[in-house]
Amino acid sequence: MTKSCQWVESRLESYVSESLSPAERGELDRHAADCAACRSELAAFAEVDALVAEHFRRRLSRASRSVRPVVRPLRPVGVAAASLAAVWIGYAALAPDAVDPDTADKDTAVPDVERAKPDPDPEPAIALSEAPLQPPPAPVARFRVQDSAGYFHSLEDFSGSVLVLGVVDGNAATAAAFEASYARYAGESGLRFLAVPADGVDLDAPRFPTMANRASTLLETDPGEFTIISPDGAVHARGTLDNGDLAAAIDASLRLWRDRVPVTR
Amino acid sequence: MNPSATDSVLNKSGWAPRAGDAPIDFDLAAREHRPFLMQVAVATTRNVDDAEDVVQEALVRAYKGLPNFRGDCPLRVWLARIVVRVSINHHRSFVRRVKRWVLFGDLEREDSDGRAAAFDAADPAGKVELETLLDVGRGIEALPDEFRVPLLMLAVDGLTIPEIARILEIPEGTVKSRIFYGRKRLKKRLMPSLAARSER
Ligand SMILES: [Zn+2]
Repeated sequence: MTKSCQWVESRLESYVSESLSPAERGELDRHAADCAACRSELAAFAEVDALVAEHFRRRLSRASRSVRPVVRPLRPVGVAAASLAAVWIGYAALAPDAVDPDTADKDTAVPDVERAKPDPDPEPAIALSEAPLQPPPAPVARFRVQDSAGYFHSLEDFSGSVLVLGVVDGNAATAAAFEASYARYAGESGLRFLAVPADGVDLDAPRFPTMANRASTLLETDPGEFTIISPDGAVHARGTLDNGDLAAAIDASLRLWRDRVPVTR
Repeated sequence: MNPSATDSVLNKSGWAPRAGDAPIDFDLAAREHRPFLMQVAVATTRNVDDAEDVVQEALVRAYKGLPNFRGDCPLRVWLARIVVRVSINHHRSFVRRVKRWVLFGDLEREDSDGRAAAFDAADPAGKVELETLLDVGRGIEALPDEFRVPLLMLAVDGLTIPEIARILEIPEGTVKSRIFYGRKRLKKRLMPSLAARSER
């Protein structure tokens, strides 16, 4: 006679957090071996854990790939000891604007002890880069487009809406896929569509909104791909235009963001 | 959990956590703990694109606040606490985030490999369907921070429940029950897709 389903239920939390005693774990396992309901309950927890882990792994891989530290001269770095300079390069993207005003203290970003120290090697930090005497290359914009009236737009101009960005290549199927989704979803409030022809591609009388890329990476959207940008400007989804991904991703985005759009302004 | 070198020893530029202890080499500590802090940031920020910025900001704050580090917990726990605080505040301040994103997002961030696909590569075998993963993401996103954060922190390499409890400064039992609650909520939400998957 094994334990009851209620007993299993009461031990579930300890079981999944692996804090059940070996004896009770054994009892629970024996029950689950005979009880399909409890077995599937446990399997579902295991599956949830695996999905959470996969979700985390994807986030981590995205976070590690999406940014690289920017090397640029920064006021405090110029006077910092060489041993600290490398770390400050890592900080450069942050200071000074993103520090809370209440805690920000640009002038003391290098602690007094550092500044007071005689500087053994007063080379500016930029000297650590491979081409010390060259100015850093101009940063490439992630997203800059120009409309037919000649106005430039940054991603901020689309904030508050879910933006479906398609980079249409010369393949007729990609334009057709974008057009189909635009026709189907264009009425959704809080959703905006924008197609950008890939370099060298000429669209003949497109039946969807288009703008021209102006030397930006289009959020790393390759020709033939789409990117869905959430109302706060984060890349939410990405996929290939000429299969069913676009509609699925739009559906998913709408379900996620519908209640929150528009966020501001 | 191996105590790291910088959790106990050393010096050159630095601060003594307590009188008598060796000062901390912040430079070395930052390098050593950065990958771990990045994972903590990925677990705590709502917008994963902020993770790098969160770590940067946390390190700046840690550096400034180092004289306040009393050495009553491992340095990596103390640093992780700062990451958690910065992450949560980051999200709350939407306006500031938008501003920062214009300043930094457009001008200074680019992919190291030219791509940052959300849907590709991570699951080469394709076992996990796009829809299910989107659903997981939505389900996790829908959890309040107090449940979402410990649940995701459990996925951080080497982080155990006792250490999560120290970082979040709540009892271990609370961490466990919050993680359990988060799992239950997700399970309920994902039931249809979990059932569909097990039928295949
Ligand atoms: Zn049972």
